[in-house]
Amino acid sequence: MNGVSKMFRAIMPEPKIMRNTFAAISNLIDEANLKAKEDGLYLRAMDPAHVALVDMEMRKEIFEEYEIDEEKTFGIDLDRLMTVLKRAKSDDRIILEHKEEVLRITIENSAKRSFDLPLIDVSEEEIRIPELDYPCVIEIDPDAFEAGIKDAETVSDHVTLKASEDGFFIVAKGDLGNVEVQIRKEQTLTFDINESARSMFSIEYLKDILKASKIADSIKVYLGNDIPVKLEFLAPGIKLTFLLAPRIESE
Amino acid sequence: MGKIKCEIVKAIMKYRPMSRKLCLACKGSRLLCHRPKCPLLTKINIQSSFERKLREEIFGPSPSIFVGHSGYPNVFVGPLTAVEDEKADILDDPSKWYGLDLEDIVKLRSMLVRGKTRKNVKKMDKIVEKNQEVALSIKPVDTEVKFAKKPKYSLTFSPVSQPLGASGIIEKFDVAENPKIPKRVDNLLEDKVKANEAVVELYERGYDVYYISRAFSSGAFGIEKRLVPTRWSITAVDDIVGKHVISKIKKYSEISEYMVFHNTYLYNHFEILLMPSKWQFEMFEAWAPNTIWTLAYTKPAINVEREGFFGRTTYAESEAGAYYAARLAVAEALEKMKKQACAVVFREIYEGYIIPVGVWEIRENVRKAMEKKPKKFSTLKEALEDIKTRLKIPLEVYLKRSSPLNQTKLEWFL
Repeated sequence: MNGVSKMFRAIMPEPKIMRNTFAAISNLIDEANLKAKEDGLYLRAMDPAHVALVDMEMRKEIFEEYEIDEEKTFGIDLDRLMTVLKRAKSDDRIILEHKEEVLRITIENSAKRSFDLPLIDVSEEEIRIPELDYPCVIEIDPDAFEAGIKDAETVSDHVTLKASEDGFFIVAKGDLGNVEVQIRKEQTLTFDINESARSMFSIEYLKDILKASKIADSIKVYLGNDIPVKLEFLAPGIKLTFLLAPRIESE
Repeated sequence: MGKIKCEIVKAIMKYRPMSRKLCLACKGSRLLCHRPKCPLLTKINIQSSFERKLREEIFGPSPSIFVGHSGYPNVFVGPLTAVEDEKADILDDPSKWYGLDLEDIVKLRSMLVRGKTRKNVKKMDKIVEKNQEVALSIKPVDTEVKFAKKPKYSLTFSPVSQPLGASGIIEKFDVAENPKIPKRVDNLLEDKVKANEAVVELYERGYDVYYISRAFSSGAFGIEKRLVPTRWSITAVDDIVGKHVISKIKKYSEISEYMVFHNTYLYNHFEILLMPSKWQFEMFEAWAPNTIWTLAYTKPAINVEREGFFGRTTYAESEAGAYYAARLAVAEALEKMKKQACAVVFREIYEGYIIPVGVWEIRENVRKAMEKKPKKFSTLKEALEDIKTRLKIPLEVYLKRSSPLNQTKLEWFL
C-alpha cells in the first residue's frame, strides 16, 4: 500500500511552459488522463461535443529532473490543475510527484508549497485520430493568426480558413459586414500547397485553441476541403496538436 | 380582438414614432435610448372594472410582494393585495395561468394593488420583515394596507416579471393573520447558508421556481440578507436552478434519437429539438415585425444565444430572462428522462404578442411542449424537415446562424 518501489517525480524549472500548455487544453476539456511515460508526459483528449481533440507531448528533456519506474496514468481535473499552476510565479520550480491516490504538485522557491490533486476516474477508451491527407501545410506566426480570428469575430461566430497560391486567408461574413485577413505567401514561415483548400470553423473553438500560441513561435496549419484542420504548436521539447472538426458551409 | 387588448394596442400606437431598432436589444431594461423610462412600457391607462374597488384603505389577502428595481439600491417594496377574496392564491402564481389569454392575464393582474415603500435593499426593518412574511407564506396572507391616497389604476409591463395594475404609496401596512411559512424556509432565514445553496435546497424539496423567486426577492436567503428586485430574482433563480439541474443531467447517457417537441401559447411558438450529444443549449428568438419591440422592423428580427457543455461565462444579453427560463424548462425535461442531449430551441413570436407578460410564459410554454410525446427521428435531416413545416420563418435563416446544427464531429472523419 505504501508504494515503495512505484515512483514518478519530475521537476519543471519554468512554470510558464506548463501553465500555457494546460491553459489551452483546459479551455476545451474538463478532465483527461495524463500519462507519464519513460520519455515524457502525454495527454490525448476530446472535448465533450467531440468537435476538438488535443494531443500533447512534453518530452523529458525539458524537465530538470525526470524519474519514472513504470508508466503511470493520472486522471486529472484540468480546472483544478490550472488553479494550482496559476499559483506559481515565473521564478518558481514545479515538482510533480505521484503520492498514492494523489498527484502532488509542489511549488518551490523561498517556501515549499504542496498541493495534492486527487486522481479521478477518466474513461480509458482509446481516442482515435482521423488520418487525413492535407493539400495545404502552412507555417505562420501564431500572433497574426490569433489577431485574424479576433478580427473575424467582430462580424461572425464562424470563419472560413482558405489557402491558395496567394497565401493564407481568414474570411468571415455576417449581418454586420465582412472581414478578410490575408497572410501573403512571403509572410508565412513555410508554404506548401498542392491545391487550394477551404474549410469553415467555429471561432469560439479557434480562440480557445489559439491560447496555446504563447508557448510557440510558429504554428503549423494543416488545411483541407471540409475536413478537420490540424493545428500544431511547436516549442522545444513540446508538441501540442489540435484537431478541429469543420462546420458545414450552409451559406 | 378583446376590448382590453384593443385599448392596449391604441395606447402603444401613440408611442410608435419613437420606436427604434434598439428596442429589441433592450426590451425596456437597459434603456439604450437614454430616456429615464422605457416609453413603450410606460404605464398604459385603460379602464378596469376593478377600479371602483380601489380605496384608501384596503383589507384583503396578499398572495405576494413586489420589489421594484428603479432607484436601486433604494427601491420600492410592498405587498400585492387582492381587491377580491376569491382566487387570490392564483393572482401571482403563473404556474396556474397556462391557457389564459392576454386579456385574462391583464384582468387577473388588475385585481392586485401594489403597495410601495421606498427602502434600501440592505435595510432589514419591521416593514421589510412583514413583506417577507407575505412572500414566504405558501397561502395568501390577510393584510391591511393604508395608502397615502387612493391608488391609481394603470397597467405596467415588464419583459421579465408579470404585469402590474394599480399602485400606491403605503402609509401603514399590517399583517392580520399568521402567515403559513414552511419550517425549513423559516430556518433558512436564520441560517448562514449562501443564497444559491438555499435556492437549490428548496428546489430539491419540491418548491417551484415561482415560490423560490418570491422568497429570494424578499431577502430571505443568503449570508447577507437583502431585497432583490423581482425581475432580477426571477432570472437569478432560473439561472441558479438551471445550472443545478444541468450539473445533474451532464452525468446521464446521451439520448439515442433526434426528438422534436412543440407548443404554441400566447402567440409564442416553440420548437425544441434534442440531438444525441453531450449537453449543449442554443436558443433562437425570432420576433415578427410589429410586436412591441419590433415596431421599427419590416422583417423578422432574430436573436441567438448559446452555451456549450461548460456553460456560459457571460450573461445572455440579447435574450435575457427568456433564455434562462427556456433553458430551465428543457433541463428539467432531460432530468425527468435521465438523459443528456444538445437542445436547440426555436421561439417564434407572432404579431399578436403585443404586450410582454413576463418570462413565465416561456417557462410554462416550454414545459408544456416537453410534457408532450415527442416525434422521434433517426437523422437530423428528418427532424429538421418536420420542424420546418411548423416554422413561419424559413429554416435556412436559422440554420446559417446555428452553431450545433452546422457543426461536424471528429468521428465522422475516421
